[in-house]
Amino acid sequence: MKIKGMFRSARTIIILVITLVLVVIILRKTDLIPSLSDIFSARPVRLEETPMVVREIHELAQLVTMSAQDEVVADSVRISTKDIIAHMLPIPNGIINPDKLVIVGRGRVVAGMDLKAMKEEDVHVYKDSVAIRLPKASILEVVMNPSDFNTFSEVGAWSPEAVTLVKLKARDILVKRALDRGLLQKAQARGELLMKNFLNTAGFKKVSIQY
Amino acid sequence: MRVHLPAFLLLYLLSCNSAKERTEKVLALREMNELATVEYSVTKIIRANDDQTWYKIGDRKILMSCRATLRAGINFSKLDASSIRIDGDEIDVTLPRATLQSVNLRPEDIKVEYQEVGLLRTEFDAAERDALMTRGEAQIRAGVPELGILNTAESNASLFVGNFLRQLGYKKVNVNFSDGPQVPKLK
Repeated sequence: MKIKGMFRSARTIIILVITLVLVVIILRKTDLIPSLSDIFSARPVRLEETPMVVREIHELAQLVTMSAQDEVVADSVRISTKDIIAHMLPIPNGIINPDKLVIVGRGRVVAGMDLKAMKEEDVHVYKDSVAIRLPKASILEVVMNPSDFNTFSEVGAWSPEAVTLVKLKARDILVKRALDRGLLQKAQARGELLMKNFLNTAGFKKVSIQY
Repeated sequence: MRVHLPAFLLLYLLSCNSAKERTEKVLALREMNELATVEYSVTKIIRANDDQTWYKIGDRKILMSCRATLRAGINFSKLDASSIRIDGDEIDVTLPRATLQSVNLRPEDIKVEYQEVGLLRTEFDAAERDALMTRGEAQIRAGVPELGILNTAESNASLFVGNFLRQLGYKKVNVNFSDGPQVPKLK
């Protein structure tokens, strides 16, 4: 009698388990319940469409003559409480990692001449000759967009402001490397050549350029 | 075996922390010949959230603001001898159509205005914020044609080139643009 009752309850449990499994399978197939991985993984972030507002419009007259494309690495290490504790305790180096942020950034440094700085007296024309005083070449723009940055390593919680500082460090490195490679000198030489060619095409036989 | 286990564990942990190799590409210089004639400064709010499911407890949303500068102008390298016609003190110049030269979202012009992350949810990290801003950047690029920046760039280019040629002594200056639609140049 007791054995018969045990069989009956075991059968009920098995039926219940099978029913439950079937219900779960059906609900999963119809996407009514999430999978285990769905519960613990991050959901894709939805970006809303927002309008773009024009704030300012500037008139420019910049002759872009050279650009330097480069990829740089910038990092920052921060000493936190866990590092101090790790330093005080006999824990071997490397077990507790310090807070660290390593960013790889691609960018473009654009150089040329700001022709808006030219005044009327900077151009002298005599018959088929022209003498022109050009502004010196300078960096006109440094382009490093969010799509140009890649977080190589992020240990610890880094605030948006701290991340921005590392990105600005990357931008400074980018500019320095471009300047070290003589970007401005090359931009100026090319600007001179382009202006000479343009003035020759515009009908001037003799062109003199000064700075 | 009991003696070796902690040593293996220690070696494994140390190997996980080994310095990762950093690579840097060589700087590439490129000759250009462009005249930038206009710069638009635009602002945009980036609104994102992922709290659309019933089984995730707590919100996870972020609000960022950004200012982008867009530059447009003309590519002088497309200008050749056939683009200029001189007749005494009269000159006709045919300029190429204006193109978008750059979209620039400076890191300091991107701000996280607000974020709300539930107790059981993970914070937005730098990589995720960058990924969102990258999508925001794509939205800005897609919205460029509606801004009319290319028309302004052509007007300014016409004005600048016209004034410059008058300064060079030409009495009558005609500045035209070559046929063909304005095409926003992507990067």
